[in-house]
Amino acid sequence: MPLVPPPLARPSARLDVEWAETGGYVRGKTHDVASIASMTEIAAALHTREEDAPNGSRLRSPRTRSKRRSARPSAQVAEGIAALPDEAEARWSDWMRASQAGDAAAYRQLLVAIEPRIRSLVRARVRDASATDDVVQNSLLSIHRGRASYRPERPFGPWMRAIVRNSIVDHFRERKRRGDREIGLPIEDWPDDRPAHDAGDGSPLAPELAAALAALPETQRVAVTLLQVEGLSVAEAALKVGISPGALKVRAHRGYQALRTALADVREDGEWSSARPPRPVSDSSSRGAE
Amino acid sequence: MTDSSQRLIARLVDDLEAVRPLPPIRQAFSLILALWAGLLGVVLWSKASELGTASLLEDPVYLASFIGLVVAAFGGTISALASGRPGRDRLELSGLLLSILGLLAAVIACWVGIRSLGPLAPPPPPGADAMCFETGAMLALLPAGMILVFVVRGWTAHPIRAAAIALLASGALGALIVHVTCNVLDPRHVLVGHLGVPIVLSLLGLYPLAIVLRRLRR
Repeated sequence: MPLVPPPLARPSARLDVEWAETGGYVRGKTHDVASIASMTEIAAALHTREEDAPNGSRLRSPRTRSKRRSARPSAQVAEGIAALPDEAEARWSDWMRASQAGDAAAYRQLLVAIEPRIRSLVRARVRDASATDDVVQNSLLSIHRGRASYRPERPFGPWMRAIVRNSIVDHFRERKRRGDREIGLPIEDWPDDRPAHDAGDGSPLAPELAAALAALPETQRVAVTLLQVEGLSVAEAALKVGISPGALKVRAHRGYQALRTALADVREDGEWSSARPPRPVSDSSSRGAE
Repeated sequence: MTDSSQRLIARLVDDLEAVRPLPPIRQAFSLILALWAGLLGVVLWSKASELGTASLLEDPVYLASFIGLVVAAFGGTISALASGRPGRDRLELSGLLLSILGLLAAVIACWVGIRSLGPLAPPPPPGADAMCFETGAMLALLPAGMILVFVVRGWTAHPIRAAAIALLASGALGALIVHVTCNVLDPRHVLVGHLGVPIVLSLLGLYPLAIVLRRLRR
């Protein structure tokens, strides 16, 4: 059924209705109320409209939406987190139980099924898309590490949401810490226009950078290499090394500092080949640009 | 789903090993209670010849501080056990609140008792405070170890809070044994030698234990 009704004979008898779709509001749609006598009929019309929504999506009036919202437990409203449907809850609980027994297929199903859910929970709080990905992956990693703490007889949803919530809190805490000690630099100021270095041996690193990297302690070198050379996400790299994402970031941060110190001479000589110079730390005008 | 999420899921599945779920809180609490009762039994048996002069019912301050310690010990234990389980925040906070209130009530009872002492009241026996404190701290070690096993096996969202609760609970459990078996009723002694155990343990051990818990979570 088309969302926009046919033109009306009497414009004054039009009722602007703001429909809420599952993905957001659809504004400015009109509904002919010439033949509708009472508010009850309007409500019935709204209900009909809801059922006729295309592709099975449900359209709701703002009033209906707000009523449904107010019916939720206040804690969930505060978190912006809706409860899981019972079926999904039961299925996920079963998969988690099987995962605790070592069933890899059930575990894969579980992780694939909950990833979009985790993403939507994170997106409700974290605006930055790249950070969203990090928080989602940290949540998955925490679920993996804390899977023994799940009790099979208890619902899966609150357990998962508590872990996701904690990952979100960790993210904001870390962002605040980082914001306190780092200064962002507008991306256009980065000398990125030079071609990638190729020393002939297939290494993407400039010789001076490769040498400085090789001189780093093992733990820092691994962290920097996994994140910056192999391009893994923090969660992936942490899992590969077998430490927490936070610990990996600390190692990488120390590695960057050591590289910055080691490459200071090269920078003064102006002999940067292809390697990106360390991020400057004295541009107060771009504070908080992150 | 992003590529990196897919890769991560593949790695997590590869890394999967069977794990034994944590026992229910009730079961874990019963285990700790049994351990504590065993310790109490051993202490009572070893001190059988020295006991008999003091009774909990003899002195209201002593009784009030006993009840406060019981609430602090058991509320704190439940809270510590809940701290390793995501989604049990409400139970954790309720237990923590109960524990703090119990300890506070015991301290207030002692303070009231001290205020009511006359100027000529004899001081507690020399060395009694230190002896009770040491005994309480030693007796707290075993319950602390057991509580921490459950906390560490779980997934702690707040390591500092979990450390504080675990130390408070185990300190109160140790102090409770001392409180039951001690013959000195003086409220000054109860405050320092008995109630001092959970307070000092929580303050001294908070940060070292929080660091350990944080590292273990990694």
